[in-house]
Amino acid sequence: MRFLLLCALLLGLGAKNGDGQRGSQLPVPQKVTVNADLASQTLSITWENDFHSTVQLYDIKVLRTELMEVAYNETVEVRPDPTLGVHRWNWTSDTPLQCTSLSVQIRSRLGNQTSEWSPPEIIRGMDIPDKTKGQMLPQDKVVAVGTSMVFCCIVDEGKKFGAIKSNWSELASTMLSRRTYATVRINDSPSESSGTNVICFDDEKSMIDGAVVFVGYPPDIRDLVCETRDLVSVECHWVQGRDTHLVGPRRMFFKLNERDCLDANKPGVVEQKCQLNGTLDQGETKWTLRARNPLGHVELTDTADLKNRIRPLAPELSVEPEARKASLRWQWTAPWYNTLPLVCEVQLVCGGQLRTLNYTGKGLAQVLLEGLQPYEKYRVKVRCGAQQNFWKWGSWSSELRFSTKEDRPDPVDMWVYMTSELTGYILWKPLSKSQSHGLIQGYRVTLSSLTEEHPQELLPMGLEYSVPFSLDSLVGDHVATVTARNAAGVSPDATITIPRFQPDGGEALPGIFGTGGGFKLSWSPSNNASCGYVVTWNCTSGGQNCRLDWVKVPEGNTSATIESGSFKAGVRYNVSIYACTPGAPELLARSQGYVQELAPTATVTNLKADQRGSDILLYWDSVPLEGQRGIIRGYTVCLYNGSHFNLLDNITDPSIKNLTVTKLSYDTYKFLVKPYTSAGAGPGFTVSIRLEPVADMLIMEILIALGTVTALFIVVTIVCYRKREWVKRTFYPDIPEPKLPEWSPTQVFVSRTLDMKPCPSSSVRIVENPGRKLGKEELEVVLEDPEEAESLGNEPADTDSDELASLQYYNQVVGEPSGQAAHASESASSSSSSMGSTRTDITYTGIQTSSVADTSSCSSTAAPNQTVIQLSGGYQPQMNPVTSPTQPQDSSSDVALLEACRGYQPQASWRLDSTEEAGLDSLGSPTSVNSSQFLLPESSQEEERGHASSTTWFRTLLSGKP
Amino acid sequence: MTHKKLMSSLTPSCRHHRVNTESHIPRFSDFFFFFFKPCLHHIFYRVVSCSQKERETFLCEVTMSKERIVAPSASLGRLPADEQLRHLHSALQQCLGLLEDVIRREKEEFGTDGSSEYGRMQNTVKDRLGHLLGSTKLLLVAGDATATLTPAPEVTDGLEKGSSFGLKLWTYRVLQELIHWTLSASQTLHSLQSQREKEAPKAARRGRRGKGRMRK
Repeated sequence: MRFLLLCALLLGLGAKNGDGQRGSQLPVPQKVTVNADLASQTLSITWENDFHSTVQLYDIKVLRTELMEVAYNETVEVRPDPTLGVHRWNWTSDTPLQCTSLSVQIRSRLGNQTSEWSPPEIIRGMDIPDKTKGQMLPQDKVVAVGTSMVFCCIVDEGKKFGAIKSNWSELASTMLSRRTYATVRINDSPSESSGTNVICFDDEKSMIDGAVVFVGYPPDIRDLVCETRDLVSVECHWVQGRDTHLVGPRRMFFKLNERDCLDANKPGVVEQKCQLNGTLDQGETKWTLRARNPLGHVELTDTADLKNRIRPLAPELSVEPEARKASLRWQWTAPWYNTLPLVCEVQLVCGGQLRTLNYTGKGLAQVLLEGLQPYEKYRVKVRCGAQQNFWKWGSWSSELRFSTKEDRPDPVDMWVYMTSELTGYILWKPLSKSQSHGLIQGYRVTLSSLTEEHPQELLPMGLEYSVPFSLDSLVGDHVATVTARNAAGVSPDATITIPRFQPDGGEALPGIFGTGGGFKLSWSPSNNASCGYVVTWNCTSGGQNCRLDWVKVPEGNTSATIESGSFKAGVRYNVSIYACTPGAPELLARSQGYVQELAPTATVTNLKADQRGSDILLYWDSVPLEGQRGIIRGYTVCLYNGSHFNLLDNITDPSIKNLTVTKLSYDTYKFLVKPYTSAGAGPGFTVSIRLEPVADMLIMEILIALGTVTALFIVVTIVCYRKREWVKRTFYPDIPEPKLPEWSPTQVFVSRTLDMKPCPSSSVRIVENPGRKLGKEELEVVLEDPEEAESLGNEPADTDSDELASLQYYNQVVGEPSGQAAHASESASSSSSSMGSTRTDITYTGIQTSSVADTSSCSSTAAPNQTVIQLSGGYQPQMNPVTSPTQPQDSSSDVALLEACRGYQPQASWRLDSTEEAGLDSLGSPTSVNSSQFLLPESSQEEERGHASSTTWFRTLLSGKP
Repeated sequence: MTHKKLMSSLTPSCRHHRVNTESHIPRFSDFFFFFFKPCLHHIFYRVVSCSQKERETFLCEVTMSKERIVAPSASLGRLPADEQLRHLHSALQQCLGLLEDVIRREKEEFGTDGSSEYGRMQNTVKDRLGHLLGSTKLLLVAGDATATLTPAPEVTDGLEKGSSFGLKLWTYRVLQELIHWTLSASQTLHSLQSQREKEAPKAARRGRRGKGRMRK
């Protein structure tokens, strides 16, 4: 029991001793003090420890007092200050120290052994109950781009936190204490000059407070260079790098060798320079420029001897101009330059041309500008540098403008253009500004000759720079003189001897071709060219502004390139080359050409087309000169084919202005002729022509056709004649022999015909004569009475014989006026004799005449003038029975004769005017006639009369009778 | 001081609002329409509602205190016309002082450049307000040559804290104050003009009666 109590006591003592040793070995830090640097948000903690203690590690704990949350808790190694023995340690908070109260405690650590915590040292925040007004922290913080920072909002006492916003966006927040909320903002871009706002709102969206943060960059400068301008001070320059985006009190401040740069530190100043006092005797010197802003600082250095860094200031200029020179002076604002060796550069500008002149000298302050143009405006400026150990050119002086004075003009460039043997123009070129040397007041033109004492003064025409002249004679040389005058005097004489007139030569001139907008000319040298050559040109087309121009070529040159702004494409120019002689200019060559050819604008003129037989001759005139615009190289002739023109021929010789088109048929043709130059074809001229057969050929063709028809007709006729039998059989078969019954006149003509008695010889028949090879039928009278046949039969048929009168039928023309009826018998007889071609031989068979005796009695009783009628006692077409009242006797005699003759007469017509006449009318009534033609109906007989003759003729033809 | 003299002091940009020069007595409404409506008020409004709000977007979400920076000593409506005009002149003078101070502080703090749009607008407002004060002073002198102007009271610095955010809020308040007093000037000048137009015929009638009695 005793042993157990002893052990328990020992354990208790051991435990007690252990605690007592730990506390005695690691003492608690004493005299802990905490100082807050609100701007840097840093807590500076100091404490003391046992002087003999070997503890070097301390646990430092920072708590947010109100919520007792750990803001920081780390073990740090801190050595005491060797003199004071005080331990010091700084802690920088990411949160503003005023946001809420902080408690700081420290304890010693030695391995795993620690001391007791020191009593808490409290840094009071702005959220304590005593401070009821809310606020936003930190205010006006300046941070670098890319950093993040913590804002805290202390809410008004009695209000509730709402939100923290920046740039319209709400930031996430955390609670630090009852009234304090914190948020983290990332500053990813520079802020505006007025900063970036962060606003805190309560739960009712009322603003509690706000803060502004300025986000920017630390200083960025480079290239510090120091020099002297006035030899008594140092001026240092540098180059500004990246913009800090910080202005106002947050802008950069500069110090040069620890002296404030007053000029550079002014707000809004953009000039990067700083000035200090200094002399050339101080030797090698180092200058240090320090730039700082809330985000950092930069130092730049430069070391140099100011003697080698002299850059003079700008001088002040003055000038005294003359006509061709000017005296330029300048002064320095710093007087120390007067003894300094200087090199100065003078820049002279005149009419856009720059001249740079360099001058050197000790204390150089005056130069003479030579070679100036009279009456010209100049601009001049000067800058200088140190001649020895040249560093940089100094500043340019301000530009000074001055004008030189006038001088007399240069000689006038003149020429003479002859328009005829005795007339011409004196031309001259207006003096340019560089030649006139002042304001030209006028020109004087004179014409003199050896025969005249006083020169003739000519008055120029306005501003044309030309004057016409007229020579009295060609005797002797005439000399033209032109002078110009200005306020300073008269120019030297420009003279030329009047040359002889030489015509242009027109189209015959050789051609030249332009190149590059001008003419390149070369010619053979002339021994007479003592003063060079003159090339003249003038346009011969193009109308207006065709003034002669010229250029003078120095002696020895035999080529020139004429380039003029007045040259126009498509305009023909005459170019002449003269040799400049002591006397009149001598024409060496003349040619014409275009600087650039264009396609013609005009076409050929007077294009005509003529028919030459079956060919067409096209011919035209030349293209007008104004419209050629180039050398005509030829013509294209096109033929219209109905839709477009086809090339017919290309005439490459422009002198040929006609074309014969052959092998054309009779038709209408349209031709197009276009002229062309090397630049292309011009407009075309069209002409149309109708190719028609020639009149002689027409006549010839007609004759040929007629001959052909005639020959054909003859052949047909011959064929028909030779084949008439066949034709006759085919087309005109024989009329079948009428087979009459016992013909009784009374049966047929009871009341209509006369009581006819057949003539004894009225019986005929057709006898075919086999002996005739042609087969011509012959009518043979067949008499019933053999005696009669004998008396008649062997005699040829003769219409003139009395015996055949009763056997032959004559086509008689009917419808004759009744007045002529009295001569009907005569007509009939005459027709029978004269119209044999129309006679138709008809054989009447079975026609019984009344009696032969009656026939004989017609012939015996008939009066001598009625013999014909008696002879026509055969068939006769009925005459018009109408008798004329004035010839009653004749009618009655006719009727009597007819009654006595009783010959057959086909009925024509009749009238029933009287019973007697009716009886007469019955005469001629159709009887059986072996002819279809004669048996036509009565009604159509009149119409058939017209055909009778032709039909008869054809029938006669067929019958082979004449 | 004649009306023509007043007109000669006008700035060119507002010349097209020339008032009727036939009247020998300056008309308040003429001045108002000349200075306020087309130019000053419009510019003030632009500065406050446009320029500064464009620059400080938070102002759109902020409800500012209704407390006046420039407080009148008495209600304007109860004061006689000349007294109202004198008060207006005094208030506008204080506004000008506040404005100039704000401009200076913004230039220092934010480096506000006079060539920027905001800086040009600030200067324009200041110039117009200066012209208005000068013209109002002329009106006071023309109305009562013996009247003495109340000196502008010492303006209390409204910056409770010297932060940039405080300066922005203060600037906004100053510009709002300026708008308030320009509107007050508008209303006052209108009422004074109406009052004078009503009194003019009565005075003319009294004048005629007086002349008639004199003839009797």
